[in-house]
Amino acid sequence: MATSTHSQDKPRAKPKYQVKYLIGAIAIFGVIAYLIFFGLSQTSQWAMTLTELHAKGNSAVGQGVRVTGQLQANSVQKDIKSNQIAFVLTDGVNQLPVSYKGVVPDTFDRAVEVVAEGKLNADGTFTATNLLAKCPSKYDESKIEEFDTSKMQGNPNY
Amino acid sequence: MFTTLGSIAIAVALIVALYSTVAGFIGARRNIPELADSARNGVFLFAGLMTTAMLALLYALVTRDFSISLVANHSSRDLPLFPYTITALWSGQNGSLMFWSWILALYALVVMLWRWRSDRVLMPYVAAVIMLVQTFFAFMLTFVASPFAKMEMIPADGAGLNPILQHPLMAMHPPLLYLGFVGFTIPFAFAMAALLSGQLNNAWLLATRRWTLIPWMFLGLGLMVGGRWAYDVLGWGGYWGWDPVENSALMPWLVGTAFLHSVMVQERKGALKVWNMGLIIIAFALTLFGTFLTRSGIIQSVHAFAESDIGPLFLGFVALITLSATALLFFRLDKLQSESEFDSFWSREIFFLINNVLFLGAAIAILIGVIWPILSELLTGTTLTVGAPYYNLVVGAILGGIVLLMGVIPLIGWGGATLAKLKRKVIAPIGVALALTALAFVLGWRDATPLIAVALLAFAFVTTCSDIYLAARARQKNTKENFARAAAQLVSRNHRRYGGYLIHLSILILALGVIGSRVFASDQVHAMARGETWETHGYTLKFEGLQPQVKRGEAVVTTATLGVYENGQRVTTLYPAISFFDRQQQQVTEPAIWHDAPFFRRDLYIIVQGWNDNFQDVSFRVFVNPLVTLVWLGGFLFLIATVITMFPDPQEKRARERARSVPVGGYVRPAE
Repeated sequence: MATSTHSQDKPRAKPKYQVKYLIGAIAIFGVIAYLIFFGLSQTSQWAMTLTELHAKGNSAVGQGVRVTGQLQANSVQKDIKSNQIAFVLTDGVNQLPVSYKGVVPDTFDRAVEVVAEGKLNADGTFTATNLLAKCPSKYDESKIEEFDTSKMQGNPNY
Repeated sequence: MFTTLGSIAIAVALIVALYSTVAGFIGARRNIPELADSARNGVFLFAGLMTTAMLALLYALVTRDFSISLVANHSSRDLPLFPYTITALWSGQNGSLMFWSWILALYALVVMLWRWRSDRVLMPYVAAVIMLVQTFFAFMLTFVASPFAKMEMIPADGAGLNPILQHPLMAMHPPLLYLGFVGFTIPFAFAMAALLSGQLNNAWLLATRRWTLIPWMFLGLGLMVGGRWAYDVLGWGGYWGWDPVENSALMPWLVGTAFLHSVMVQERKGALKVWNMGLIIIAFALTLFGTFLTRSGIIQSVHAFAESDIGPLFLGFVALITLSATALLFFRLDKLQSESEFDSFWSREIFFLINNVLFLGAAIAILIGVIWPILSELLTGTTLTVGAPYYNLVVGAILGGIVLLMGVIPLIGWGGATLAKLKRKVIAPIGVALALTALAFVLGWRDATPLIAVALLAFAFVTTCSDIYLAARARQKNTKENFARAAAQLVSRNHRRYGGYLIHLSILILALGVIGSRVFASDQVHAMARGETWETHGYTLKFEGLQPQVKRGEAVVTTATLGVYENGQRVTTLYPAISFFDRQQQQVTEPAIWHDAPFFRRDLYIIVQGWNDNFQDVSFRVFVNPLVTLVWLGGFLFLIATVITMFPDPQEKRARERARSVPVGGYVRPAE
């Protein structure tokens, strides 16, 4: 039960600048910074609209992309047995045929905007590993609008 | 009429908040007790006014007053009064802002009643800082985001509450999160009061430890409840998706965790004073910044609160608060010098410091991930996003380091140990950890990541348990109690230390659950015709029938019946369903979950994916999630352990008495 107090009249020992601890802290932050940099460079995806993706041309092939577009009317084809879905995204001008295997979000069918994560193939089609749907709201803009039910699809860690 | 009363109450509250801010500040600065007292009374009055406004809104909700936009947009006539008509109060943006302000008003009320008389120097400043925050909220509620805003046309019925939010856990989740977010204002206010008054002894720190623990606990619980809700309702078999909204609640929790540890170093050694101030400023700023992020629409989130005009105002307020707090901190730097040096590298204080750097680093890593779309746009011109793989890698690695420290810290004391001594102590726990890792390998865990994780978790588990065990044995020797009693007495004598260890154990259990359920989760999709069976993971699933489109409440529900057999025995029947809500034009997947006994082994989690037009073939998604129950068990233990840690114990009472007798500038070294 040692109670020790430094009272005011006692001159406070001014610690010398503890350089080694500073260096240690900087070293740890350095490791963390490297980890962040490594993580970003390994896992970043392009996020763009269909128009922007189209403008990238062939340079987008093979790149991880998160593309946003509208669902073209009557383009959805589902195959329950094999769990496949195919549809076409459009921005009014360009079209992107997307194929996807996995869970389709609950709100997909009435979505105004669809976000597909995946890769662009050399033949101009898109293989999605994850789908998100954005939906119109009836009354209020601040309602919770959409939930990504297929969030973990295609990610082996999840 | 009541709604007019509510609007007036908020407008008056704005004036009161403004007055109290000024009065508290001047009263403290010029040492005018009457003025300071009036600021405190302003805090009480504000709480009364906000409560009035809350009751007025509640009245509008309960009486189905659809002329109010919040009522019309978030409830409907057939919504049950309790709890969902009441919880609709905070389901919209404006309602949740008012709820936020109301909770802060209650926190402030309690703090004022509890400490006003015992601390006449700090408290007027505390009142002023809290009321400055309230001025911002009252301003928003009056001019930008009124919860009493009217509809242009009064609808016959409301839009109803989003069906997936009509769930008991979702009734609890937002209030818990708000209690957490809002509560960080209190330690921030104490820190600012210390800086403003120049009273930079440990009084503010001792006063705020509990006021940090309370919001920290609520935030942790809010995250847990949200995760459980996602697991039970959303149907993707998981509970955490690294979504920006989730992340913005996790960041202040991590920084708060760092603060709770580094506070101990300041109490004991009089060191890390600037660091602690910095942490509490960051934690508070992050609670507001998170709200800005999720409301401004600049970040894409699956929670997708659509864009609104309160975003820029929030950003401005966060910037103002952070800048002025930082300026204040620089202004007082000379009074915040360390009173002692760290004696040895192998000491608890150094390891707490490393732990702090890691917690802060984890928060920074998450923040960078969240704002990466904006950051990358600025840096490269291309918008880039990162998702779960980034967070799993970066934050996972940092958390691994934190668990390692969690294991080392019980082995070394305050002030320092020698490396030789540490080496002796560390051998046995390492041995046990390696043995458990080998066991996991034998049981079929083959990947490096989960094996390393198991080794770290086991190491921390063993050192923590053995520290408690050895201390209890020592006590038993002295007091001749039986072991259980000695252990219980030990914990009750020093809530802070042993409560803290119990929190560590709960986190380790939770972490094991996370690893088991995420790394070893199996996720399969299989279509079956009626009467067909399918074998997976030792279960035989028999698709026995589909009941299409039965009306249930507001929803039209299609339910599948699946018999589950294990070793030829029927163990349970599962009813995964899809319901369709006509009002919202929304389809909701209802997963069926079976917690396989023994209770923590694994969950069988099934959703209906879809069917073909004649209902003959139905496609199911089947998850098998091992150890997932440990996540919930860990969360429950976290709650109990935090409550234990919070209660005052004999140690703390003595420390408090000493703190009162210490002159300005001194510091207290509490006994172990």
